[in-house]
Amino acid sequence: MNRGRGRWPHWRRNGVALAALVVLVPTTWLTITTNESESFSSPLGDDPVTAEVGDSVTMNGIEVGPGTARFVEEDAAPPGSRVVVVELPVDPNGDEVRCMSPRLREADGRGREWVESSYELGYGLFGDRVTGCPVEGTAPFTLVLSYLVAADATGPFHVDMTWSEALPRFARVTVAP
Amino acid sequence: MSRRISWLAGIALVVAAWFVAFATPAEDAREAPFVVRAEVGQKAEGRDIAARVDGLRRADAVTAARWRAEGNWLIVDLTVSSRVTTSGAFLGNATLHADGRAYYASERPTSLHRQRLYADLPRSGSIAFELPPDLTPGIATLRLGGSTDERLDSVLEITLDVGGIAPGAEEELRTTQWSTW
Amino acid sequence: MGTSEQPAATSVAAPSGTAPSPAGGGAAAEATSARRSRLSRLRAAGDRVPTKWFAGIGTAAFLVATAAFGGLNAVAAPALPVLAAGETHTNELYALAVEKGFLFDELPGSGAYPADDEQIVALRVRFENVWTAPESTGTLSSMPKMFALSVPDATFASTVRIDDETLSPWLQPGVPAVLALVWTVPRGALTDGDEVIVTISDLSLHTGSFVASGRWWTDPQEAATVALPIEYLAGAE
Repeated sequence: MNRGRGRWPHWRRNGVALAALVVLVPTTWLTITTNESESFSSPLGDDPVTAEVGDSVTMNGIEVGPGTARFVEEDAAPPGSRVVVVELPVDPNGDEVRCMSPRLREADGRGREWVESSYELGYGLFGDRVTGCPVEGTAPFTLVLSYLVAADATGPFHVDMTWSEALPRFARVTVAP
Repeated sequence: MSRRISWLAGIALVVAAWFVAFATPAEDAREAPFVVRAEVGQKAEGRDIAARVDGLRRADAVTAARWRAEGNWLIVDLTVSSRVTTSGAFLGNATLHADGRAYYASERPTSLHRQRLYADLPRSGSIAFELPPDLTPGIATLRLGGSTDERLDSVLEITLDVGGIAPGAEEELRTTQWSTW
Repeated sequence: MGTSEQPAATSVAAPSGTAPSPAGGGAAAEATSARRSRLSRLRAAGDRVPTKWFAGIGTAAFLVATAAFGGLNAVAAPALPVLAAGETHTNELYALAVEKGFLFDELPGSGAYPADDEQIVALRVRFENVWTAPESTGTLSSMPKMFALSVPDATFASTVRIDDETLSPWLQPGVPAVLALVWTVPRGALTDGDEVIVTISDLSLHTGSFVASGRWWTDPQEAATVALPIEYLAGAE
């Protein structure tokens, strides 16, 4: 047992290899994790670009917001629910925007989320409300979205909107009815 | 002396290893669902689903809208909602476990099966199970959830006592509509 | 044990080819020593053969041995049992009976959309799920793996209940149902009265492990055939 020159002679002999391990193992873990995490994005995207109440979000050159919201009285709304109507201007700045139906999510509490409910409220498919992004054209437009929400939902709410080119990011505009 | 100790220690470790193996959960335990149990008439709440069985019926024929079919039918009337999401929430799992077999709610009629769930906005309706002609189920277990892939999410489990229910000649499924708890 | 027969022999001879044989002859001692030296000669001879030749020698010996039993060819598969139309075939998943076969130009409500140069072959099959869990029946289910038609370029198109036209129905355990299994075939491949051979395959339940989870039916093994006369019905059923 030669405890001679250094206390750990074998560490020193393998110094280069050990240093490489210390650097490469965490780097490998980090690289693989980041690469694989990207494929876990939810269908709506999980990387919000957020604007506070009264502000707009600009993403990929497209400006979304500022949005306004109000509670409305609606006979078709069942007991235990209420209706939130959101007006959301969108300026595509010359691009086409094929957005997915925006969702309404509570900014606090349990973070409950609801979907555009014109159909459930019986507004009809061909009313004069613009509830979806236009199929053609690049002019600015304003979405008028009706959400059926729980009666105890007070807001403020996030309006989450995205389109396929923007994923995994999405525009999150805050409204306070 | 030390050899005897080695032998005893070795045997003791082997026995301990046997106990450890015995106590180790099964391979799929780490993906097991979170089961929430309830009785008929009781509201059960999972992570993103809440449900209450309002009633049980049996029938020799079932109607729904303009559809009709004969068979050994068990109808479960229930009220259901999600608790957080709406965009991705559906009553995708409605499974009846009886007599060692599993049955899915029938997709043949329009029913609450596979309908969208709304966060804290309950809807009432019915689901129907088509059972073997000769089977009279006694105690059965109803499992409700978002998907038949039960891994790693909540599953509501409600015990049903089907034995005492006499089948009617024909029963109609409740129309799906907004409701309250 | 290499001991000499003669108790008078003083040394307990080690059974080694190099040890000198016990002195004091005798026929038995001579025979033993001769046996021993034959063994040692064999061993010496074996030492001279290069080790790597043993693999080749072994293979040759194996092949010679198998030749005695008819060689290594696969045994010809036994012919599949032939079922009559309507006769029940039971495997682990279904008890099924192929009842009739039809040829259509089109079949609205079947879930099959034939092109202009195609026709539809529909089999009426009675099923009962004899397993313990429901099973799906669409084009992505286990159903297409279980049936093959003798018509070239037949493409499985859909499954539909005969009674209420539910597409891709679920078969609940113990609940019999009559389904139509639908294929598209090239137009003209069949005419009224032609015979179609339906080959039924049995599946095994496979449990996913490591990277897959769940259980599914797979690994089709041909199990039976049914010869069906095809009836041509011009319109929809």
